[in-house]
Amino acid sequence: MAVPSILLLCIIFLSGCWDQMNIEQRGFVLGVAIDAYPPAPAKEEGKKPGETPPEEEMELEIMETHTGKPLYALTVQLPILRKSSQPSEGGTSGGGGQDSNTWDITQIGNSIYSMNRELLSRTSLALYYEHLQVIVLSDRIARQGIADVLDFFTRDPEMRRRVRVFISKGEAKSVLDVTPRVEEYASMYLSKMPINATRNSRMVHQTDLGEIIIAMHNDFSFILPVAQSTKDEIKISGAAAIKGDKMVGWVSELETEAVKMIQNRYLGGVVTVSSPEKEGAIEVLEVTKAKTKITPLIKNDEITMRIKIMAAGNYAEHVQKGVQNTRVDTLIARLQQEFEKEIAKNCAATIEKFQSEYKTDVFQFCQILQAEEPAYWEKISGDWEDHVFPGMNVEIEVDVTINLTGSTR
Amino acid sequence: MNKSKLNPIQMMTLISAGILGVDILTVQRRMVEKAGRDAWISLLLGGLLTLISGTLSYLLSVQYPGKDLPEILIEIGGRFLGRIFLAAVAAYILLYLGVSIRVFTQALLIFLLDRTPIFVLILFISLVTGYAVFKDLDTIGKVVDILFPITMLTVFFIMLLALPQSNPIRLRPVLYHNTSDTLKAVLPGYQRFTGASLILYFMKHVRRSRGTFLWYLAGLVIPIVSYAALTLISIMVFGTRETITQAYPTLTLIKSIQFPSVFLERLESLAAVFWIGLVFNASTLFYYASLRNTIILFSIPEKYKTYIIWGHIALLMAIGLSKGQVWKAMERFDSARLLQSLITLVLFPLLLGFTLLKKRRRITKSHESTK
Repeated sequence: MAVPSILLLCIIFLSGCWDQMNIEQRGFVLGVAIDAYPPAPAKEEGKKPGETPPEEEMELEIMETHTGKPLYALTVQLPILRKSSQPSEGGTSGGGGQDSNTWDITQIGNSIYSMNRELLSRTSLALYYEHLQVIVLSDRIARQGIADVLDFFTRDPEMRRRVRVFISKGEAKSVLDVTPRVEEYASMYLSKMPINATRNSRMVHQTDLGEIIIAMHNDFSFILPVAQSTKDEIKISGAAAIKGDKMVGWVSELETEAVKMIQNRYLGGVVTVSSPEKEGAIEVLEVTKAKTKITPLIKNDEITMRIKIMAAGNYAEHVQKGVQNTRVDTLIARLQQEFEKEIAKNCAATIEKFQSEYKTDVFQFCQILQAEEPAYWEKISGDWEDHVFPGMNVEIEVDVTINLTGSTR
Repeated sequence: MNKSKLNPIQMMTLISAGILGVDILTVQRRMVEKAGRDAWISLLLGGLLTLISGTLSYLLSVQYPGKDLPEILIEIGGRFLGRIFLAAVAAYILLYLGVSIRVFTQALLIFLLDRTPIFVLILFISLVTGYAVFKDLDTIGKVVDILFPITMLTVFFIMLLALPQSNPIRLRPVLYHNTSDTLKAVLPGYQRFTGASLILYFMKHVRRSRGTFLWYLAGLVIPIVSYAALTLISIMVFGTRETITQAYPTLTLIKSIQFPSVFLERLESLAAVFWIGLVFNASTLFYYASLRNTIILFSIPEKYKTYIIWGHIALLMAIGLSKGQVWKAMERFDSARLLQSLITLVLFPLLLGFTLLKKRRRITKSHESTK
């Protein structure tokens, strides 16, 4: 009798699933934007006066907090699945407006977790982060420190470490509000763009949540891609330099290219130089492969980083030379030298900027020192970014090989 | 008791499966906490110690053909002292089993079944493993034979996929100002290979063959290499500082795997299904050992085995559910391992020495009497 009774109890209590949830009940969060609260004056945020949300909307957005004042405005982007499955008339639409494919819902508070829970009082869906594609942080948040806002995303088991993180110039929410022309949702549009990093070296591509957490835990400075937006377009434009967890300044597109090359993360891109043959003309190299080796040299307590870059690629174009009868293959050696000089110049200028202006080692030379010169590192580790790195010498050696010249010689 | 015999090759799968339990989820964190970036070296040295102590366990089992560990302990120590030894072994194995089920269910709660009550998970694992134990070692062996290659392939596959995210520079400098910590972590490293001494429960059921010892060694080498490689890759991917902040580094490692296109987005959930098989294997083998300990310790007739299995379920529930916090459970896990080190590094070699001495005396005596 005992065994059948236990079996019966097991059938009652162990069948079914506690974790069952119908897919239509889930609110798939595709993107998250975090802005500082209270917002900066309209001009600073790039808004026209009158663009602030109506009062009744603001009332819904602000939540009552247990302690402290509201610090952040969290916007989550949810796809409106029924709408997106219908054929759209006159192109796709996104951005959270009336005709939008997405619902961009904002909550104001001082902890991401509690804001996230507060959002549940405004939607019939259970917010689900497993498919989160992007996190966009405003530059104001980045300057205040990103560790506080990212803790929720690193701690919650629903999050994936492959979520891409971007910094926006101005309001982060406006990036999610974009109505993309090709993609259905702004978050998907933004998350897919770094795929092009194999051909465009001006985009930072390795910037997922996991990479950021590793860098922050190891006290490494790093760069994050910057997203700029218009009504229907997003551009990944340069980067933001992060020291500790705070943004210290902007990094231009050419500087981003140099940082990637020095970090040995360059996947492919374009380098242009002035023609050695004709004044005003431009020669273009498509870099298909680049490898960087860094060796620290220490002499009399003075440190020199020897950076050796080996790049290979194809001669891609000449501009403003007119009809040319000289064969490019006869100029290869000279062109290679010019490209080498250009790459070295760009890298040197970028390192110099980070040494003098930001005092921030986004190249993570410290990691190389730690591994290769541990005794020296022990002596200077406390002073690295503020004193030693700015005074460090750099030797750059570039070796460019042109493999192909296209379909003409 | 079922009389069918295990093949010598099954020593490899059973021993590997016994060692590769819930530790596979946390081994990196626990070792990096103690030895930093050189944790993999401590694990390899701990593995070497495991090979030595495993060899001693094998030799001990060979001295008593047809007997398993509880019977050997009673034979050597007699009814009183033998039972004291056995009680220590039984306590350790039961504690290890209960806490490892708890730690694993906690991981399931975090990553897969966040709303399922923990007692249901513990009860379910206890029931399924209990049923396998009820069916006896022959059935357990067959189940392990099926699950083991799948779980090992998963482990190998995950390590391979994580390699592109790794940066070997995070392993350097090797042993720089860290030799002492690395050596201190050898014992904790050794404690990760707890299942090695399960040979003392299985040898009784193995068909006699010369290759048994070699298969047993292979069964030890597989988890040693797997754990060291997993630790090495985790350090290369996360660095030491991040590894120690993670509750379950192996699951985080799976989450960090990147593909250029959208592919296997929920790899960790897929892998969790295989971890269930892995923990099921180890739990079943320890459950079996615990059952044998109880039967011999209390001289219970074999026909009452079913009741002992039901009793075990209650005990496992009690251990698993005691004091809610998982971190406390992990601390208890380490106390259980200290007992294991004492048993395998002190008690077993002493017993082997005593047995060999006794045997030598008997031979000398018989020589003297024939003279």
